[in-house]
Amino acid sequence: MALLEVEGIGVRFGGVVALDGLSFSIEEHEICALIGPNGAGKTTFFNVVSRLYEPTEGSIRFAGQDLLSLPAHAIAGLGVARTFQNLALVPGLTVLENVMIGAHARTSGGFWGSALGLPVRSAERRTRDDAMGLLGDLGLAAVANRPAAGLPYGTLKRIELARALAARPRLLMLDEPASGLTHAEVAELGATIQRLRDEFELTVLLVEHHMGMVMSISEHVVVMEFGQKIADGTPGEVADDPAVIAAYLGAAS
Amino acid sequence: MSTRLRWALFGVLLVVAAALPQFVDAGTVNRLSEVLWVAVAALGLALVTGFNGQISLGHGAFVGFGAYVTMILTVDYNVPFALAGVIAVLGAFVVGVAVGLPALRITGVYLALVTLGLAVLFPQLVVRIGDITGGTVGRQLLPRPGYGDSALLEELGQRKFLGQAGFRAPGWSGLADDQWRFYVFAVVALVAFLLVRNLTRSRIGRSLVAIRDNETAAEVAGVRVDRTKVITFGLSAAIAAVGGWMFAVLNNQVSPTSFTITLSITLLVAAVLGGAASIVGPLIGATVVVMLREVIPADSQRFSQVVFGIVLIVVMLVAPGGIVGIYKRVEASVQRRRSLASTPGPPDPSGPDESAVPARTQEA
Repeated sequence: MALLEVEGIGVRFGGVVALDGLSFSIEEHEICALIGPNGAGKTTFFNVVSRLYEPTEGSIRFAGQDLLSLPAHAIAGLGVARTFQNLALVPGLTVLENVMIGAHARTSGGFWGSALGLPVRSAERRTRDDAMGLLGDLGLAAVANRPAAGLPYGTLKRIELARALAARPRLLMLDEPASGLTHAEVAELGATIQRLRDEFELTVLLVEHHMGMVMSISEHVVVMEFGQKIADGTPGEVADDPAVIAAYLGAAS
Repeated sequence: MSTRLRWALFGVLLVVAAALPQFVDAGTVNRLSEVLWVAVAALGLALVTGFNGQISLGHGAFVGFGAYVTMILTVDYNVPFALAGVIAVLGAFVVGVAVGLPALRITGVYLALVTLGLAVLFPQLVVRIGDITGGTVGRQLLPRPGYGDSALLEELGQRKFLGQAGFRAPGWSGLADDQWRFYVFAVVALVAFLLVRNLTRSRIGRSLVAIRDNETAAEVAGVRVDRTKVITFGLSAAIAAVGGWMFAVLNNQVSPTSFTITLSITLLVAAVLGGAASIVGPLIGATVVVMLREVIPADSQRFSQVVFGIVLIVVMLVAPGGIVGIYKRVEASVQRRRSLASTPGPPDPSGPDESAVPARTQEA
């Protein structure tokens, strides 16, 4: 059974059709790339899965469960974590605390327990150790106690990745993880994504413009244009698809 | 600041607080008690505004609510002070939640305006229901004239109906009323500050800051944004009402002029000046604010509002983190200099764009 099953998703903003009957599915443990020109609706789709946008039609099932019946805050608990294209870090917290925020959904401790302090302390330490481990894993241990503002862009992107991992997701959605990185960093990122997939038994959904990385690490590529799916298959199949070539290079007709 | 140094300073503060009332006159002890109630009320405001980013210009109303409920319960219903305080604080939580619910729909400047309305409304409302509040002149927390023989009341007050004779030091303590009051306030304030400190350093505390800085990021991480904001508003109102209870106990007199917009602004100044997103900030801010009020002569009290306004503007422009923020900046720069001096410095994991600042939100 597929981990994520997307069925006829449509999103309209007023008269603008952002997503139009989008359907595809992602198998467990695969790295799937969602590509397409700017404005194709890739980030819109991420926001639908995050329940930030309400689709006008269609259904999404995650591990067999109706994802659209859940509120936005329950998605992380379901096992879906994401990063943001333009970063969504919390500048008022340290790097470590930003990563700990990622574990919010799978930890407990409400207002009263937290205020009284005692019963949650060991859970808090576990969350901290776990976040520290992730930071170390991604080469960020040195900045753990720095504020999450004012660090280099590539570092901030990796902090977001660590935060998403802290949720221990089954599905990790990465929105343009390679943007703004140097060539060397992109190659390293590709290897990191593959390694994390194996280490954390993840399924990865990737929105990316960096074709070199997409083609080298994904097993499955979905191509979008104007809110619709125009191709779906292995990297090799998709690269030879005339519709994809037309979308990227302009139609020859 | 190292943890050990922090606890050491905390210990010193406790010892000073415990010793001080023994060496100064009653007037000064009452000033210290005033610092404590302002600090607790400002702490409530700091929780919702500093940590959670919900701007409130109306917290004076919650202080007033706490003070009035305490007065009415103790004077009209013979409720002991402690119980009256508990009821006032629980009531304020409910009122705070009721105010916090519509606050979910409005943020930033609009929320500031709505809470400002609350601050303006409160004294008017109190005057409207003058039968129980005493109207514009207010009421005292002392036995009502004609209620009975005052000597008898005095005795009753110390045994059973504490509320009927003001907040008095129990005989066994050997303390004067003002000293006893200060110690009770100190314990109440200590508990309030410790609870808020624990809260802000927990999973919930992180989610409060995450909501303040990036609501989307918080929600995607699994934070129940609406619920958290409403509870925080309620808690903040409840803490402000603790300050209100302290006000009533200290002044033995509650009147609408004490809870005008001026009080809300004073609390904001105390919170912001000390450092609204910090725990000791409100205490430092309250100390400065009460001291400022002292040095301004009584016949030009209106002048104090001008001073507070100027202080608020200057702090926002020069040091948005308040006094605690200034301290943290100095500490960070000292540490950076020290680490640069001692080690060659590890290679910073850096991207191509050193000047890039994090965008706060994701786009459509």
